[in-house]
Order: sequence, then structure tokens, then C-alpha cells
Amino acid sequence: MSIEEWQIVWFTAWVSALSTIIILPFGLGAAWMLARYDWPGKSVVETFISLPLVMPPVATGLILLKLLGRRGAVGGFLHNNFEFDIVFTWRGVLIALGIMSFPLFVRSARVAFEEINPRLEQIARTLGAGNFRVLCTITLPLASRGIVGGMLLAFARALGEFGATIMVAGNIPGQTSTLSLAIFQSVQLGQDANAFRLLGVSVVLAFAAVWWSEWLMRHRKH
Amino acid sequence: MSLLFKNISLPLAPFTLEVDVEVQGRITAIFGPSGAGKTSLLDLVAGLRSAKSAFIELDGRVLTDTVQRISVPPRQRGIGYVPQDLALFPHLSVRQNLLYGHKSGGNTNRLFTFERIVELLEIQSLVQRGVTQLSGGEKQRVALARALLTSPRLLLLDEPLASLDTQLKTKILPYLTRVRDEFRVPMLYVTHDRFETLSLADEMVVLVSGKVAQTGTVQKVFSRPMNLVVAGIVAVETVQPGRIVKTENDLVTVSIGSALLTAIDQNLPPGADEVHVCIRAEDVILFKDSDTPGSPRNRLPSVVQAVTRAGPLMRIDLECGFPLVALLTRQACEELALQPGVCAVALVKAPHVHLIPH
Repeated sequence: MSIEEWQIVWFTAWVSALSTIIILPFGLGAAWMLARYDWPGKSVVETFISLPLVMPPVATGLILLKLLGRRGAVGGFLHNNFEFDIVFTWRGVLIALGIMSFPLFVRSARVAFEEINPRLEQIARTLGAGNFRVLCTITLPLASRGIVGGMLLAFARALGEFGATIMVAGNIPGQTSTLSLAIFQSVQLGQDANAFRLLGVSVVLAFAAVWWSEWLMRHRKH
Repeated sequence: MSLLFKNISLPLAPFTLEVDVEVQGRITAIFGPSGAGKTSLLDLVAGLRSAKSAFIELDGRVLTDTVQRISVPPRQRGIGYVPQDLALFPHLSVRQNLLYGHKSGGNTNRLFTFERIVELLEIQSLVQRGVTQLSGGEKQRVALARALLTSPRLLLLDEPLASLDTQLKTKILPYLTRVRDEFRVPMLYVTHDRFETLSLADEMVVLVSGKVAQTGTVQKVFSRPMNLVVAGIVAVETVQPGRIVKTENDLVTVSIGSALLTAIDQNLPPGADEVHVCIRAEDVILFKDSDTPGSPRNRLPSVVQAVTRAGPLMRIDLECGFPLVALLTRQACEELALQPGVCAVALVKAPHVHLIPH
């Protein structure tokens, strides 16, 4: 593989990992709120979070493009005040991947929280633990497999993301080109050998992530 | 110990839990059928649930007061809670479970040291194990030890023996007695088992559909149930309809089935002829024959109908003009050679015949 190809693999892997880490706190918060509390508008938020899972990724990408572009509400504000651009930069890739993998993570973490017997947390309180200690010593450890499994799923989803990324970040070689974008481009240009090499790498990466996630789910019961 | 409940009102699915009672016993049994609101009451004491209205005070310290908007958080109540499912932390070892509440308390005047509790409950050999490797009885003791290690001012036990078979129950019961006698922690003990109540508790609160049906010493409630509902719940074995035929010199003669029984006059309302006759099985004495004179007023020639095991005792179903149940030790049962078809004489003292107006 050429240096450019290794760069694409490297860029895809770390931007996927970074997006997974960034969605972690938000995803945990959302999963917690959905699993533990009933509040007005919960079903609307629930549906909204799941939207990227069911909408065409290109449509999600278009919404993001309109929002984050220089003439969009958010993008315009950032560009005018801070000269900060998102669209057609690696930051655009990051946001597209994060949005697309968010629902997968929330689902997995939510199930993990819901499976915890609330009696365990209550009894921890009677044993003298405050909310923070209960969270760190009971809730998160018991949900950890589901959370890690969700992170791996989100990571795997990010690795293969295409539609939203190409809308928000384009396919700029050396800047926003990810594995999927590069494979598509190679096929377009008739460079099948390049495409197959990248294909092999993505199969290995995705297989490892999903297999690990499945393994964790299977060994969930203590 | 003084635990005061005032104006408790907590809507539950089929009824509202409404309790106004002061509990002072060393071990108080909260007695009632399942679904009576017993666990919800414990949750209120522990601060794990909030009621529509409630005032709960433990030894002069207000724990909950919905009027003043006071609610001491569970971790500051100093109340140990062993729930029915025990809630041992599955991801922690037995030792980590035990020390969970031991570390965070931070008070120096501990009544209970780790070594002493572990020794008393005989769980030394389990400390290094994982929680999932324990048997039912071992889990029970670990959960009890974990709650005790917080040096609680009050211990809440929710049907601690309900999930265990009879044999195991009789093994765990002595540990509870030990905890009662050695540590002198007051306990609220939720149960629907009369053996446990009789062997552990000194006071009891009978809870039926969210309301207190009767309170008092265990002896009093068991021998003098206030009404038929309580009599049915505390499981007085013999509850038969009868009719008062004579009242004379503080003694009442009741006809029941084809037999006549003597009871003492319990200030029954005038004109109450129809009564329910309640006799506890423990109060029935059996003789092979009874030619010798004796003090019991009621001597009933009976025929044994059935002999069955009831925990450590034997239950004898008799026919003596009406169905009567007696509880005897196994030795007594063997000495009298009791088996279906055998004749015996049942003796019941007049004060043990309890009448409830119909």
C-alpha cells in the first residue's frame, strides 16, 4: 500500500475513534435520561435521536451542510465571529461521523442502564454512598459492558460512514478522504486494485470492532 | 427504640398505604399477606420512596416530614436495609460487598467490627469468594453482615427467610437471634410467617391492604386477634362458627358443631350470640385418655384425621364434633402413637378459647 493509502486508513481510524470519544458523555447523558426518567417530550427526543439511523445518510448530511455551512445558522456564526470553518474540513468529517453513530451508542447504553436492578443503587445509598459514588461504583461498572459494546458499535459505524461525510466534508485527498470515500473514488477512476486493498483493510477493522462488541455483549452476565 | 409513623399516605396500585403507629419493640414484625404494602413501608423508613404525606421520626430525630419538606437522604439515616432480593452487588467480591458501607461511614464509635460480625455470622470462609458463587443461605448472611457493618441504628429486614426452604430457614433463624441478642439493633422485620414472628419478634403490626389492622405484643395479637381478618392472617388454625348458649360466672358456654366449649367472658357486646371460635394449635394439649381430673375446662374426645409436618413441629388434624388442629413436637407425637383413626382427648383451657363476635 502506498503512503497515501496508509494515511487514509490512519485518518479514518483516528477520526472515528475521536468521534466515538466525543459522543461518549452526551450519549451517556441521553441514555441515562431515557432509561431512568419520564419527562414530557421524551418520545419526541427519543425519535429525534434515532433519526440518523433510519433517514438516508445523504439527507442527514444535507441538513448538516445547511446548518454548518458558511451561510448556515451555526456555520455562519462560527465563520463570522471566529473564522472557524467546519464544512469541507476534517472537523466536518468528525461531526458527520458523530451524528451518524450517536443513536447506536445511545441504544446500547440505554439497554445497559435499564438492565441494572434499581434496588442495587438504592441499597448502596442506604450503605452510605452518595449519588456520585453510586454512579462510579455501582451503575457504571454494571453497565460497562453495554457501554463499551456501544462504543465499539459506534466506532464501527463511523468507519464505514459515507453519505453524510461526503455531503459535509466532500472528498478532499489528504484532508477529508476516508476509507469509504477513497474506495468509491478508486472504483470511479477504474483503479480496482487500490479499491480492493482498501476494502481488505476496512473488512479487517470492521470485523475486529464488531466481533469484540459481540464478545462483550455475550459475556455481559457476570 | 422509638419509631413514629404519622399521617403516612402513599397511593399504591389497588389501595393507599395509610399508617399511624408508634413502634417500640426491640424486634417488631410487620406482619401481613403479600401485597399489603409492607415493603413500601420499609422503603419509606429507608428514604428510598417519597410519600404523598408522611412524618417519620426515629428516636426523636425527624427523618421525613412532608409538611416541613424534610427528607434526610438514605445515606444519612443510619438505617441498614436487607431487601427481599438481598441486592448483593454482583460485580464485587463478598469482601468488597461487606466493606461497601463500612468504609464510607467514617464514625469512630463503631459497635460492630468486621471481625466480630464475620465471625458471628460464620462467613469467614466466604470472604474471598464472588457473590455469584454463594448459596441462598450464604447470600442471606452476607447481606445481613453488610447491613450490620454500617453500625445501623435500625435494621430493616424484608422477608429475610421467605426464599429459603424450611430446612435452611431453621438454620438461618439462630443467626438472626444472635444478631438480636448480641448487637441489640432494633429491627423492623417484614414477614408473613408466624414461626419467624413467634421466635424473633416481641411486638407486631398487622398490615392489611395498606392499613394497620392491629398492633401489640406478639402474644396478644396471636392469641387475641381483634377481628376475623386478623385472625385469618395470623393463621389461628382453628376458626369455627359457634353460638353462645350460656353466660355464667364470667364463663361463656359456646356450642360449636356437636361439641360444647367453655371460654372466659371477654366483654362481648350484648346480644352477640353468633361468634367465631378461635383456638391456636399450640394451645391444644392431647392425652391418650383423661380419666384423671385436671384443670382444663374443655375435654374433647377426638379422632385423629391427619398427621403432617409443620416446620419443626407436627400438625394433628382432629375431629371432635368440629375440626380442631393441634401442634405437637415430633417426640410427643411418637409417644402417643398418633396416626389417622387413633382416638385421643384434646384439652383446651378456657382462656385459650378466643371468641370474635360474628
